[in-house]
Amino acid sequence: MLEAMGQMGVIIEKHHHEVASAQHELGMKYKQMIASADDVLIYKYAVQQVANSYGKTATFLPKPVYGDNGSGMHCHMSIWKDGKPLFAGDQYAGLSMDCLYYIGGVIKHAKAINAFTNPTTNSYKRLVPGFEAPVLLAYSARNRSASCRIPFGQSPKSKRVEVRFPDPLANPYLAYTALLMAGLDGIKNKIHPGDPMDKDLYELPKDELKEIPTVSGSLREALESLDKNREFLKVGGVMDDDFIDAYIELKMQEVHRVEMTPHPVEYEMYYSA
Amino acid sequence: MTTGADIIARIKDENIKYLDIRFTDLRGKLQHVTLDASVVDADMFEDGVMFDGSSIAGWKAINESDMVLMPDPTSVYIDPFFAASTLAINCDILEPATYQPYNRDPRSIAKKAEGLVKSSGIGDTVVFGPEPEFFIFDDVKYSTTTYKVGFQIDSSELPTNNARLRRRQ
Repeated sequence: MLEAMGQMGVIIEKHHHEVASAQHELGMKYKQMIASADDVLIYKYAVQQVANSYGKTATFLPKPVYGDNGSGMHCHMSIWKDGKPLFAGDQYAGLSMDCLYYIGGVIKHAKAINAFTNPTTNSYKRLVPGFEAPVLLAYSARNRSASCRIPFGQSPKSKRVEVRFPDPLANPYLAYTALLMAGLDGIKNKIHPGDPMDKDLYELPKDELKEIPTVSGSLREALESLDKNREFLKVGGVMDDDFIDAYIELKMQEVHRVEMTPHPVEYEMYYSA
Repeated sequence: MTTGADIIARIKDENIKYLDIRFTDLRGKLQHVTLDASVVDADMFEDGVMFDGSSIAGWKAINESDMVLMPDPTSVYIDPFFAASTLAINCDILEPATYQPYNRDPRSIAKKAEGLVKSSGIGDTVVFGPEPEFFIFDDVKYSTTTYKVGFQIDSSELPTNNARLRRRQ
């Protein structure tokens, strides 16, 4: 798989087995926004083609197996100006105020962003507490349980934000756009993300946990959040109402189909009740 | 910067048989049109390739279904999975009447967002590093007919297959 991607222009770095049985991740190098999204398409195509050539199949379904870890697509991001990293500074973990505001924007708009970064009904079977799923909207330099992580790095050039809730069924162009537009809204309106959360979020007492906002709990909630909170995506004419309405309509059909289909688990729980 | 002329030269020099034009629908699914190399010319990189958008979910209605696929010569790669030598190229979707970006084209939307970073003066470069994870299964079956709903997956790595693996060793 790495070889095929390399031939196709993706700068490849590594393969490692993931937490769940039969789960994998290949590492590719960061690039500029459009080129990186192009790479995601090559990545998925190559993985599926190579799996097929061995008589197997690959799936980017976020949660194919109940009770095991799901598949995410963590997204690292940074902005640069005149060769200098905008996100490096003298604030928390060596970040700049603009970076904190960017995080603030992502956290503020997360439930609407989910419609693009987690665009399937299955996505929300991954985004449940436990299984290392980044459900809680907090940020931290250490804590992988926070949905925004600041990866460790000494050099100012390595300063970046890792948003952990996206999954690989996202259209990378739309997911990147939603994240970026939220971050830009944060910078423009100086949305402070509050204090970092360096405790293990999974070990927090219940009353503290209740204070922390979460991602959307379902595709329906994400689409409804997008419907109500869309202005930040329309800045500069990047998205428009026609597009957002069409997207919601398309995705709501998927919600309806799954909601209306009797589920095998319902047979187990209720058939002979 | 790679141009259309470079692509045409490459097709000739490397004896490329097909140019595969690629884009994504709203869901992120890769869609493509395969062109015989003989129809690839300089005009194609000016005028684009006409395309019926009504077959893509969430795009145009059948009565206004024409759209233009505009290949991006900076985004090409050899596809090693085609039997015949094939050059793949990503493209943007344009409105045929105006040649402006189609407002429901994901790649054009992302380009606008990237452009906004520059025009707002916040920065000049946006960098993304994605980490997609996936599962590989040896066997997958699912059924969604009205009277049979369910799925079955298998992989030699699943814990339920430990005994089978041990027997094999």
